[in-house]
Amino acid sequence: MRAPFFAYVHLFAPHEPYRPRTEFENRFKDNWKPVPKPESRFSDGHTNAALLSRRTNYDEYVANVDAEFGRLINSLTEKGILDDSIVVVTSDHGQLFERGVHGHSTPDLFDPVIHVPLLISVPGQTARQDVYSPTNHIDLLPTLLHLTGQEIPAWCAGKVLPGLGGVEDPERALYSVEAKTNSAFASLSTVTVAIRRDNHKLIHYTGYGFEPRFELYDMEADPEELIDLYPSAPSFAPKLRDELLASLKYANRLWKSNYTSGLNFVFTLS
Amino acid sequence: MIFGPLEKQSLLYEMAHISDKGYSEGLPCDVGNPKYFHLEDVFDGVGSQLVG
Repeated sequence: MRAPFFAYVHLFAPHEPYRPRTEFENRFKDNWKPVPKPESRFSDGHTNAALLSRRTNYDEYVANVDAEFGRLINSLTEKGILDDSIVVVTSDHGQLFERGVHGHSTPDLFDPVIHVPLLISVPGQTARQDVYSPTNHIDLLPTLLHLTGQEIPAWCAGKVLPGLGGVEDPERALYSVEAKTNSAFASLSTVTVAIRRDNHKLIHYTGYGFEPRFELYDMEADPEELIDLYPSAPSFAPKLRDELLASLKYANRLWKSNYTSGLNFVFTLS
Repeated sequence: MIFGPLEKQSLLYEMAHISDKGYSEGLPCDVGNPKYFHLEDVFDGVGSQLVG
């Protein structure tokens, strides 16, 4: 009997450059056209035609990786590894092919960047179950602890996923943050923060050289994020905005006036 | 300082001789480093680690 093991496998593919095996080329050249979207403030100037071409190439590469992953799963099934193993497949980001932007190194927090795959299989599972509840990567730890019969520590911020022992909570707030250009040793001042509650998503941009701004989308009625509801001032917007700003302030609480440089911060912690 | 550069040279030599058969657009690679690979080798490697 093998000892329990935990394997974290971070695959580079299907990252750029998108280079599928030859048999996966041209699989998605079917005249599909994406929904036209307005240019992002952070547009790289890519044309829609160029973005569609790259998206098609990306899809081919994803299909290739998917086929290889299927081969791996078949092999693990044949060897009996999956009889007592939980498998989680997810991604740390998505990819934009719209609004003049290609990739994920953008301050934009539109859903193609943050709505990532999450597939979980557990021993004994015989049928596929689709769960559409918004969730977050922080839910993986408590979910795995729950599935393996371990105690979930009080400091654990996530929740057990619906469908795997947890319950749906439409009132729950889920956050996404993009701060790649912000110093890791300073408060979040050049940052994009998105809060998602139920079907509403509020995005806040600040520190990018234009006035701090909010965008609000109804993800159920407008999943392509085309209609910004924030200017029309819906009644629930101030509460969502105040909650987002309070969370940002809380995240910045460590950086008081005497912690203005990275050096100070390091010494303070030491 | 000694083995690192040697290992890097060895890796670069291997990369220069890896076949791109089956990949008409070129081999998949790490965008930041000259590390080229066949997808099937990557997944075979993962599988052997988990099974072994």
